[in-house]
Amino acid sequence: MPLSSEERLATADRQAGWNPVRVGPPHRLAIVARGQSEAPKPPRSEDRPRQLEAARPSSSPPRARKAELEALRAQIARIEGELPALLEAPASPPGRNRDAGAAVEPDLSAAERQALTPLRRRLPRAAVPLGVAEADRALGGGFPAEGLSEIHLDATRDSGTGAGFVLALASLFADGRPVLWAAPSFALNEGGLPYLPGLDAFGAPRLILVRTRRLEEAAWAAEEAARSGALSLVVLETLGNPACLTLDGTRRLHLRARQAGLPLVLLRQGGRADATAAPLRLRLRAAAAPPAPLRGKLVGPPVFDVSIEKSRNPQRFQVEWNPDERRFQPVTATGADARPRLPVPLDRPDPAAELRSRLAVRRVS
Amino acid sequence: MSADAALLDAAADWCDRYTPLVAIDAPYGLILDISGCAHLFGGEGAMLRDVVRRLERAGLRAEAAVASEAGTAQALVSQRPQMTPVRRIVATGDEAAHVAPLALASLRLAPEMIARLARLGLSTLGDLADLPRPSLVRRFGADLLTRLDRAFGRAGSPISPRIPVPALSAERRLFEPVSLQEDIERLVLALAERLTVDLATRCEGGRRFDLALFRVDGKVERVGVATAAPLRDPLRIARLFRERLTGIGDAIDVGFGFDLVRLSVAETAAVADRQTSLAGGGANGEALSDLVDRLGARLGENTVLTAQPVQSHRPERAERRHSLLGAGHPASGQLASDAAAATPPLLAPRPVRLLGTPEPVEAAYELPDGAPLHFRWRKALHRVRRAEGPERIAPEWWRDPFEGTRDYYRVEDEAGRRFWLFRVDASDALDAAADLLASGEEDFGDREDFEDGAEDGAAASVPEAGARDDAAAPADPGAAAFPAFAAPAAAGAARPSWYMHGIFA
Repeated sequence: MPLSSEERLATADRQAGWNPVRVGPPHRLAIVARGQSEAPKPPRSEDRPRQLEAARPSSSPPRARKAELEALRAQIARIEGELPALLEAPASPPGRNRDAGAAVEPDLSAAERQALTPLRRRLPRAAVPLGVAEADRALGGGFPAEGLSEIHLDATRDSGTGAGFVLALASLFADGRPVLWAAPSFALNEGGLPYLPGLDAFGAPRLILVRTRRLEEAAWAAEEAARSGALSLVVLETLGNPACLTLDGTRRLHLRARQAGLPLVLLRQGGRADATAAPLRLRLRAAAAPPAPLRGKLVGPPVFDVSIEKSRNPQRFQVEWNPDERRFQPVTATGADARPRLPVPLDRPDPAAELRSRLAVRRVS
Repeated sequence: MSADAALLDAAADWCDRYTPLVAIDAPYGLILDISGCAHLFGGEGAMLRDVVRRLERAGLRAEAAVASEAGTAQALVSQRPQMTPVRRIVATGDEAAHVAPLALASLRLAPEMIARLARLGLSTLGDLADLPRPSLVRRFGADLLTRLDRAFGRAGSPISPRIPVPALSAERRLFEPVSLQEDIERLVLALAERLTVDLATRCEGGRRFDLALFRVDGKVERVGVATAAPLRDPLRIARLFRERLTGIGDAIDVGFGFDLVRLSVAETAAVADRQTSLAGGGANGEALSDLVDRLGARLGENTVLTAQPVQSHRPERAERRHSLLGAGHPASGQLASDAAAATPPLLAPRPVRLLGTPEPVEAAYELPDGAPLHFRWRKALHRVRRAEGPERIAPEWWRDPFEGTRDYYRVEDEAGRRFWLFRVDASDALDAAADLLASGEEDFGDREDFEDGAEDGAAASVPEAGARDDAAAPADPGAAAFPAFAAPAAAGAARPSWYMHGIFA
């Protein structure tokens, strides 16, 4: 017996796990979680459903409602790990290197910083601008200066690109404290060890390499390092998507790094998109520098092709690293690369596809 | 024989409970320097009885002697096994009376020497000592006299302890053995507090701490931690050992428990007292060294690495990696200072990552001296779009005389990845080898040709060659078109071989 289009839609909704009830508290929550600046206007009291009437008396003054909304938003932001703040308009004006929190507390010990943590929560999210307008717009102000960020590479042979981008970030974050790079030895054997003479092009950051036998040890080292607050950047490098760095493992790392106010980069060689606690995930590819008049057949400066994968509006941009001035700059194109830069499709198996007929699974990441 | 040596080692380990200065007197003896230790065990006699009794309980028959010089004691216990084992304490100045009646064998001379002396009617050490010394030296050599002097306590014999003597140590004897990790940690904290006082009076801090756990049945477990900066704080020392013990996990066999715990400072370094702020909280350097210490304690000393520039043309030798921990490393004290700033400026670009060993790649090239057109690395084909080079790096002939000159190229493939390849002319290396070795049998070129031939043969003999072609479709047509892959190498003419060495950003 053929179904009508209405019935088919309803069935699809039910299969996708959506509640067919149109108006109700869960929907309100979902809308607020999207980070909209203004809550939708409440329906007029005569057509408001019964449940809402019961939940909130219609005579509440607007100020109390606003406070309640604020509390709800804060709660949601806490649940979601402050995700929506990243995609608001750029918070910090360009040129300022650190957020307001860092300006208030110039150099504090770890203990003092920990004591101030609840205060920091309310300050705007820290981000360090790359210095390229396009990239900063796409990233929502810059690269997050605290918490976990993921950088994925397509394959192991891109490891140089990944290392270059991470070291470039390290030179952005550089404040005299060293950089800790933790990796299991098998990942370093595959991708190569960071090479001291080559670090010169990235401002020669002081690098402490932690080369462990097993991945769990490297993850432990990164977690300890994120907690110590004696470093400017922590890098954890892995191969692929190991089981110990899924949602739970990355959540620990993220919380530790956020508490210490420290950027932690999870660099995956050949990683596939997975549900993790990192608010930001970039996919990094190498790109050839466009031909320049004086360059001829010579190899140009490194160009990074960055796709922002985990975000509400996936974007893609390219930045070039200037090894002489040690800063990012827009790609010095001479009209050669005029292809439209569309977001790359996520090349991954859909984990929910085979479950969808039986379970209502929503996308997590 | 090795089992005997192992047993002797274990016994020496066990004897560490009496004195830190234990030397092995091969093949069957141990020398313990008990200067200043005997009173801790109730005097020399009580100590001797204690050692022998405990060893007997472990199933070892021991002969023991206490003397002012190691040579005297050695001579006393080196006699033929007798019915009653030797237990003798020789007072200073009394050596001659004890040693004179001993047989010549106790000097551990060669059998023919003993036979020669016996033919002259000399059978005891006393006989030998009565003879005029110059004639003894003339007829039997200086060695005999040296041994004689040592036995009579007239000359000291140096002993070399098996374990370097620690600068400081503190120990705790337990009547009830402990086996729980928490108990050991608590003991370590107590011992560290005792050590801290001594370290403070010496204005020093420890760079390496050793923990010796003496098990009831004689086995000794040793656990060491090293630090990135001189350390004196007992809490931090205890925390390092907690990390270490946790990291070791089940590697320590607790058995029936430990009845003696000793914490010693193996390496020290001067540390200046510093004024701390009233607001509390250490400096950043302290937090960093604390982190590095804990990582090293849990994961092993050689896990936490830093690099230092080295003056060398060879790219793999241009940096030296070493652990940040312990005092044995040249730059270990520079944790807080900027060591990397001393990198000498380079004219040519260097990759950001270097492979541990150069990996061979199959490369095709237009000109024998030119950059590759395309290459295959780890089964993936890369087409070269841009290339820079060559940068010729000659081998360090004083280190590796058989290496060929390397021509490095910096190439960029079509995806924009940048690699650092080098070419070694096999004939160069062969010439160098032939110059230095009369029999130059190492023929790289021939071996490669043989391998290529074997592969071709295999492909032809496999019946389902079509299926293979399908599977390798994206790569094979290109490979067929590559001139260098297809061209048969002339016999004797070695082809240059290409290697991948580094990856640029």
